Amino acid sequence: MTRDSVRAALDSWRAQGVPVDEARRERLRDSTVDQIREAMRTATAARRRRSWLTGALLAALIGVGTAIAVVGAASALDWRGRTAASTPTLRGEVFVRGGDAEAEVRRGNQRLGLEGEVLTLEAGDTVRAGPSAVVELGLPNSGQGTLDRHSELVVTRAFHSEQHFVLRHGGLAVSIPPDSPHRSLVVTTPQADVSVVGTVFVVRVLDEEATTVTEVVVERGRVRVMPRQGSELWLEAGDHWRSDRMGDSPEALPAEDGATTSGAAPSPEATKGMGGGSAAMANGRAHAARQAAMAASTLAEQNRIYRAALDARNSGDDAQAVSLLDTLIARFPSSPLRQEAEVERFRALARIGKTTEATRAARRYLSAYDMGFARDEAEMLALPSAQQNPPPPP
Amino acid sequence: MAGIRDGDQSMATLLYDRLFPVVDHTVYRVFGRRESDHDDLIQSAFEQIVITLSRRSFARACSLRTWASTVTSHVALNALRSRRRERRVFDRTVDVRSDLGMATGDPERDVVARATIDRVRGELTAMRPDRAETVFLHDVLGHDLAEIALTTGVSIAAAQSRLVRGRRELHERLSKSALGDRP
Repeated sequence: MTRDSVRAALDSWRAQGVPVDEARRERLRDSTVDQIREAMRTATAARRRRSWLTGALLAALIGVGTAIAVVGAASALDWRGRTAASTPTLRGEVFVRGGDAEAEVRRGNQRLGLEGEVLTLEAGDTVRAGPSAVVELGLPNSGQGTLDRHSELVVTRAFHSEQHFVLRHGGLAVSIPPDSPHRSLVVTTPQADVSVVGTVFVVRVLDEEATTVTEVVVERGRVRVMPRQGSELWLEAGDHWRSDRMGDSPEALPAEDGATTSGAAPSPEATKGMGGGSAAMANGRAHAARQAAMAASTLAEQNRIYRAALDARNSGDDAQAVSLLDTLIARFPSSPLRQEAEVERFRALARIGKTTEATRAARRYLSAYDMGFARDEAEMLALPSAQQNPPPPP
Repeated sequence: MAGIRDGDQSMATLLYDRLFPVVDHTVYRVFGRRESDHDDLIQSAFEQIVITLSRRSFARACSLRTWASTVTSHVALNALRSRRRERRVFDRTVDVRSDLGMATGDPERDVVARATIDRVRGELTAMRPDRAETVFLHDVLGHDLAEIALTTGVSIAAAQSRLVRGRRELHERLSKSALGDRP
């Protein structure tokens, strides 16, 4: 069969006439119209059902999307919060509260009132207590601080594991629970740095005649005092030290009346809530006897080496300080001063420009003391990312 | 059409009156006669037309009559294909009186022509449906390629391809069929 014959057949088919059948048309009208109506009803119902399903699906998708967005936003906020909490410069672990209208916090040029307010302290803040009421400080791990009337305190570090304050004048009573994680709290006065771990003590800067005097009263635990001049010393519970009596040994407090030998007893507000301070202070021990006992053990030697290292550091001979600290760590690896020695070592290494060794020392410190008091500082050295945003120097 | 899409029942009679000639004509063209199930096919075609209009498949790019003839062709060719599978399509009695339009006055010639058309019809049902429908719509019902492309939902090029391939396939099938008939 040729193409032409196929085409001819199709043309014939096309030309085929279609007879009109009006009778069939009328006969089918009613039933077909009814069927058309039924088809219309079915189609309309199906379309409505599809619309409802589409709407329900869209609503479900929107709901799921909204839920995902809410969960995502919450996770992001939580992540940001955790990131902020893990960033030393953003971590606000020190709080302040004051009931006095004259109590205030100075943050840059901004004055933040403390009347009944709780404020998170940041490095650089200055806390001032008014003449009529004390200001309470909230320290990490249930620690407390009380700033006496007419006092001024500058916050230089407000990390979780390390707090550093500068007491310009007035008094600061500090209470740190002895079972709290090991950390560092340093109060700097014009005459000394007072370092404390797990203790209750009062440090004061007294205006006497034309100068100021720093007074430290230890109620519980141990406090390390590093005077601007002279060697450091450790104060035990009941000890009382004044910067204008540097040559004297720390004095034990009288047992009965609770007054210090300098006559500058902590105010009732400052010692309030610190665990029966007067009774503890009454149980003072003879410092000379302790020194003798320590000398009989290796602790005396450890203290001597450590003190020599600090002296070298204070005199600017960081290389000698590193050498002495290496000796201390090598000879007494289980020394209670080990952590302090490690910290001073990486600090000294950093100061003399031995960055690689300082980094290595900081990492060693972090691995040995993951919750150490100088963790933040070590992280700044050990972790390059942390160096992008270093905390302000103490 | 908006009334049909919105389910307006009063549109049913209007739709029937407007489209009955096209539907009837197309079914007749596919089968070459009015079969016993002609009425059923007409009603099926109307049902499909309503459904496609309700689903907004009809885009108004072609006339409603063209759309109706395409839908009806699809329904009728499917039915013809089904019958062929049942081996009944060529066993049916031809109602010669209904083929009035093809009468040429030469009975022998009319019979030969009718036999040829029946062979073409039979081979169309064996072809791929899209090609068969395109050939039928274009060469039998006389729609142009643009209308076919619109109503079948393909591009004009695709419709033309289907037409060419469909004609070629039809020719090949008819040639094979002719060779098989020879003694």
